[in-house]
Amino acid sequence: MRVTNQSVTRNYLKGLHGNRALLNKYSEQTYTGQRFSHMGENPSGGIRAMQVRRNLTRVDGYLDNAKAAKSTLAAAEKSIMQMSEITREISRLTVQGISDDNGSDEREAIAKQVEALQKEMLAIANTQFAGKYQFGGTNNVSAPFTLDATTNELLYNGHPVAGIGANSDLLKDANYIEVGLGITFNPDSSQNVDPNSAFKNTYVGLDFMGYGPNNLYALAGKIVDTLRSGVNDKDAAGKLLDDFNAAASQVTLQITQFGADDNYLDFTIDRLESERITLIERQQSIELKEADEAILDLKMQEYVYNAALQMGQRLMQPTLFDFMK
Amino acid sequence: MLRPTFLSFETAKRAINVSQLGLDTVGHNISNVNTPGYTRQRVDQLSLSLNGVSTKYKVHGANGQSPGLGVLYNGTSQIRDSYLDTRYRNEASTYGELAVKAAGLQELESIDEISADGLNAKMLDFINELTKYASGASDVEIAAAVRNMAKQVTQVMNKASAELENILNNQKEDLRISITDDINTTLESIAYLNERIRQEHMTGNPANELMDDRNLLIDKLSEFVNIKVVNTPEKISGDLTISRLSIVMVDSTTSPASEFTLVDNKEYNALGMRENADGTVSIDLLEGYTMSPLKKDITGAVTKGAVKGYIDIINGSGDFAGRGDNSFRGVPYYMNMLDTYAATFAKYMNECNSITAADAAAANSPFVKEYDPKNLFVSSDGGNITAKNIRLSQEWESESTFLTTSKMAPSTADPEPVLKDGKPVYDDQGNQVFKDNANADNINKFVNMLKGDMTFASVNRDNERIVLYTGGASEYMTSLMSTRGLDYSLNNTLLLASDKVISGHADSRDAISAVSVDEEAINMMTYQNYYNAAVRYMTTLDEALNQIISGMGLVGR
Repeated sequence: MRVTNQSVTRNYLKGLHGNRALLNKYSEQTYTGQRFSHMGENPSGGIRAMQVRRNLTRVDGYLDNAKAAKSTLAAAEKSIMQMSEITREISRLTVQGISDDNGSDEREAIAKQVEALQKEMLAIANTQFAGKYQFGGTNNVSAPFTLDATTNELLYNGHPVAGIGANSDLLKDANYIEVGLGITFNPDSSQNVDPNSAFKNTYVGLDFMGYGPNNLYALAGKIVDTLRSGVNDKDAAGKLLDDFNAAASQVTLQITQFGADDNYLDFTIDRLESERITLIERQQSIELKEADEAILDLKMQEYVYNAALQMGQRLMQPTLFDFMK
Repeated sequence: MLRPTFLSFETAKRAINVSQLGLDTVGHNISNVNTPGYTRQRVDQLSLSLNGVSTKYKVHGANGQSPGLGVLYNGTSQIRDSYLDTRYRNEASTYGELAVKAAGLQELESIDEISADGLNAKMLDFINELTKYASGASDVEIAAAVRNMAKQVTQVMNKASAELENILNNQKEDLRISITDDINTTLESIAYLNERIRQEHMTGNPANELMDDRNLLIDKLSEFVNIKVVNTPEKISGDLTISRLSIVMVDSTTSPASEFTLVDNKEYNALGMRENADGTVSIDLLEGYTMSPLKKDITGAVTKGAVKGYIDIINGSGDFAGRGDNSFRGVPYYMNMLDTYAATFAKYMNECNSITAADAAAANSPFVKEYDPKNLFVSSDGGNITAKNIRLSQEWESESTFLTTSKMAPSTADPEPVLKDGKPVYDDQGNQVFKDNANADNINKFVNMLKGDMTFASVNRDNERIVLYTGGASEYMTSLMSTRGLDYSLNNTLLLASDKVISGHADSRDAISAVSVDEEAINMMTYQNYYNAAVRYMTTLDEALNQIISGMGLVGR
């Protein structure tokens, strides 16, 4: 094939432009540290990068939820500890008050102390954390435990505690948050979350206060009345104390439950954080280019480009005219 | 028979002449090495003789033979292969189309991102805020943050839609400029050159330079539209036949194939761009000098070239194409996909937010009243929701707790009312508004829905329902971006391949018709030696004659 100057020039320029473009690309990779900046440069890599980003954002969300739940739990635990101390104190005072060595003045003093402790129990059950009531289940905007205006009996979220039975919906009242287990809903009731698929971050005060007629508040009230009326029936007083101690053991049970929840949250947070690290590593391996690889590519390309430039000098200039005498 | 004395002098003279002309042509070729479109020229030489029956007087020789009479200059012609031209122009059409599509697809990258601020990133942030809202459903500050994020999502949608419209308008403008500045002026120039060349040819002048100009213009035209060059021989007189050049566009989709003439000798037709009401463009055929309409809508005849590239980008509605519509994934496809995204997102969010009669019945509480529809997103002009007009609803803008956090009965028999200046607040349905509690069952529903439970459906241009994607909101966006990325990548690959092919054709063409400086140098040496030889011959003839004139018959003087 006849080779003409125009085709030689054209092809040389094309090759040179191609080399220059590659040189630009490697320079950009070196100083941005990224393999590509548009989806079009590497569609399959781009799709994977998007997936990793999506998962990273989700894991961040779950971590946030888990950490928030942990701080709520810590506050609830503190309140429960205080409640436990109060029940022990009431128990001790009751033992003291029932015994024979007391005159009516001493019994009155003890009764006053127990009354004060009863009020404190109510206050603790109504504590707030960051402006939200802790023990009202999903109701955290108004105090869960109130006293009926006329009968002075204990109400939970407006319902008389004495009338609440073991099957009450109030005990199942809960809010669930997503911590990465994949929240699912009960097929029968579309709004209800399947409890095994999420973490419960609300607490129902009835769990430690007790429900039905033998709740801690009512029992404490009965103790006060018994002390004030003179402890006439020793057996009845002894049974009252037993009932109170039985109810108080629920508080201890609740402490154990909180401990288990805390462990679970710690485990979840650990798992999420290591998942996060794995995702970040994966993101870097897809999106970023290692500095040594980038610089090596750049140097190679510079060498190739220089070689092309030199060749041009040898290719373009000499013609037959240079050699004619 | 005597030989004419000065006969050979004419031979020598002609030889010197021709060698001079040869050197002139070498000079012409070397000077034009870099002229675009220049075809190398060469001197046509014929050998001359007066033999044969046609002469009245034989020169000499027993049987009427005589030696030849030298060289005859028969003009300067150019060397060109029209088959190679056709192949080059075919590939140029393909290349022109791919180049325009590559540029268009790259512009569409603006709805793309692997950066932090794009549509996908905002949607992910919104879903994240919702996830966190679930653990603080009664927190008015978090409610406001969620609403803020939703507002950003709508704003980015508006912006993306505006950018797409911008791209569409830019492409239309580019097409308009291509047609008026590039194509129509080229057609006019070709017609003008046709007339000039025809006149030159009729007087016997090969008009090499004008032919080169015309070929260059036809090459340029072939980048824009698919053309077929037809050379019809036209008999002018007894022994003169010149070629008449016409350029046509062939539409092989009709049966039989229809042809639209662009140039026929000095007449030419022009192309016009017409914008239709639905935003697509059509190409019309106009009469050249008056620009009056000749044939409406020859868009189907444009099958290659930059114009086809523009038409695909401007008209292509991809999956939304109806019967007979352009099904390339051009700007309208992306606009429709974005609108579907906005409309479906709004529809699902609004439905999940509404408390239907069935929801109220399931809750069975005086505090959960029916509120249907309870729209979070509306269109700013009252019509269907598109990416351009999606906004937060007025109710949500004014009250951040408009987002339904729970559709279940509150656990307390006496929920806290929302008070404004000490007075109870009522919503648009006349129901009293109570404070949100910690129950976030509906928020978990929102998040679940956005993560994987949506069907993105729309109608195509024939008004038939089509399902575009089933899955989560972010997954839809990723799928759309990857479609564009793959289209762009494929187009780029084809473009690079076409570039190589067109280089190959250009090289083949140059092998025949371009100037090689080395070859011209050899030609120059050849003609120089030829000239020397002819001059030496002349000297020899002169000496020989001198012998006769000055040296014969001097014996004994």
